[in-house]
Amino acid sequence: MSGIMRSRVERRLEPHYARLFAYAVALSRDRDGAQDVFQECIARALDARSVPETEPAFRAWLFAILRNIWIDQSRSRRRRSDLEQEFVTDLVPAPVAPETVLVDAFSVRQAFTRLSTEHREFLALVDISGFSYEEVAMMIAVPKGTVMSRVSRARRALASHLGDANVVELAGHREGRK
Amino acid sequence: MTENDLDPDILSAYIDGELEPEEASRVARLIASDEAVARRAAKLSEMKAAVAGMAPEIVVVTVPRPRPASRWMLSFAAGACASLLLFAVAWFGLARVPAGLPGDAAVRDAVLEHAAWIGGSFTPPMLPASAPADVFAPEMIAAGLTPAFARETSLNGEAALHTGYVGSSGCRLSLFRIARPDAEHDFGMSSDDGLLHASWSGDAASFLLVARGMDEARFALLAGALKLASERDGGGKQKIIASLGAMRKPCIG
Repeated sequence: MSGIMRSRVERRLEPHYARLFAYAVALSRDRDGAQDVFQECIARALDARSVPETEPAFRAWLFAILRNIWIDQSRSRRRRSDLEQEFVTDLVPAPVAPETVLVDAFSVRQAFTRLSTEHREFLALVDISGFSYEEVAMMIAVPKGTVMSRVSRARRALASHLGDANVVELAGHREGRK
Repeated sequence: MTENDLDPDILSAYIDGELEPEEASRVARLIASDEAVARRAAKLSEMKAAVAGMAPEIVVVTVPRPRPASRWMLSFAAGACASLLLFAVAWFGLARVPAGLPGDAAVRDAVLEHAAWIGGSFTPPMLPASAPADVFAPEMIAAGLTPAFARETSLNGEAALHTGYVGSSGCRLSLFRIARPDAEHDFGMSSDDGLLHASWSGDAASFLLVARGMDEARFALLAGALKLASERDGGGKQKIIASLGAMRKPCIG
């Protein structure tokens, strides 16, 4: 890539740094690991022979690069079967109705780190990175309906962890559901 | 549709603004009519906001913010929108006014009043720091909307109170309270080329909510929350409105 092209891509990358790094943290659960994935992603984007022209496609392309790097690194650290197991395992202890839990920033952060990789990823893409369901579906090659159900499932899992952490429930609601 | 019929995936998608307008409207009606569903929606909205709010804590890189449009551009756009709206309303009338709700003429007058505010045709008096008790101006600051004024007006010949809310991203929301006891009827919402209006009635008054260019899911959730707050025992439901922080999207048009 020429120097002019490279600086042009650099300028296009800058607005995405924050959410890209947040996505890396959400996937890897630690800042050091996220930093490695993030740096590698930026390097690969700058070395790319061609980049998508439109902004939505550019953004999706960037996040897909980061995701692939993270998957590659994870594979090298452990067997693929372990990774797949984590993707399909629902770590939710017991179903909890979302409306019965108390939400505060600290509890949410704690609960988020206890989510499965899949759940963290979907919430990071939709809530933190601001992608639409359609964009997420294209990025990770699943149907849009699957994105919808997985985001919903991730929120229920988050609510369960919040319920587990807080134990406090809004008075009266349980009685009303009997 | 009842609370038990509402698929959690649908409610979650509603919070994300991912439903088609017709389905979003169905969910909005359920939120307005069923407090348990409203609480579920508010809690999901809170969780979404909390997860989104984690980004600054885990991010070390600063993000350059897009430059806001100039005041001149905003004024021009608002004026052009108001002119176009007035022209369209004058010639074609409003399509798809929900049946059984405050009549077409009242909706038309409310839309005109809202357009006149956006277009700067009248300078409304500012609300005092604490609104008088008889002014229905629910707290919506957590949802990114600040009450800007309340003024008496007339909708289809009936006295009404117009409360204007201003959002930090340029949204303008008009709430009209018509002091007319009416038979209670269902919540209705309509969207027509970016113009959104919702209406409902309570024991002592009817209400109309108008906005232009607002995200439909946000408008529906605000309308549902306002309906709950406008009910006789609505004071305790302010928390629902206060938990709408996640539904902040700029208005377009």
